[in-house]
Amino acid sequence: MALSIEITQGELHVTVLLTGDIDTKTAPELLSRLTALELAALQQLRINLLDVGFVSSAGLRAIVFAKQKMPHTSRLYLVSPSTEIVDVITKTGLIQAVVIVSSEDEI
Amino acid sequence: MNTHNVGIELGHVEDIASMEAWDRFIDFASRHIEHEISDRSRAYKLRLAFEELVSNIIHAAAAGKTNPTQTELKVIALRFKDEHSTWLVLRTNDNGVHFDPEFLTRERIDTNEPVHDRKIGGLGLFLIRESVDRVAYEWLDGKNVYELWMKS
Repeated sequence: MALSIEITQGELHVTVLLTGDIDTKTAPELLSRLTALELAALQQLRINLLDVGFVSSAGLRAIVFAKQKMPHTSRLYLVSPSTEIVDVITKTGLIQAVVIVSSEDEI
Repeated sequence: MNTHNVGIELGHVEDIASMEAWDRFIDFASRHIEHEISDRSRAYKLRLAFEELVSNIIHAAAAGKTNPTQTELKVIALRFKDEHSTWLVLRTNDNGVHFDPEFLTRERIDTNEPVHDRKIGGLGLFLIRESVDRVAYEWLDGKNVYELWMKS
């Protein structure tokens, strides 16, 4: 399944709206789009996963990469991930690097 | 792993181990997973393990370890039954270089390590091991044979 990536620059944060699957085939494009952001100066990144059905390790690596490039004090929110995606994020220990919220209203 | 000649074959797909064939392999496995595994969470985990495995095989083929155009990958879906359970098995069979079966011998990643200190890598093998009920590897007749077992 293809991945649609829509990036919105807010005043204090960047929102990445994803639709589709983040797998070996589609993760490079996500990584490329994230790399194009000024991550070193970004305090808040919101990745909306409401319409994402699947995330593989390639997708997780893209997310980890973004967090590693952001300041230590920054926040990376994962918005509306499925139970299965949260399970993988928890199992791999990446839960420590992100904040999971059910909607952007919680931020 | 001594089960190669038992079980019911549900179907198979065969192609060059390359990203051009990615969708063929994934669509094939997804179809059988959806049909055989009713629990959504377990279906997700098997798909995850399968994608990680196929990704590793394709990357190994493309990494110069062997000629990618000569690496063929066959995926077979099988149903096994024992007295307690029914299993869906996804077996991959490739003629790439003899893999070190890392997922059986490699050190596990430290999931408690801070993300800023994490090395990028190892997640795929970790997820293969952790996501299915049973995983097996064998070097057989000059081919790598992996099996992912999941109870239906």
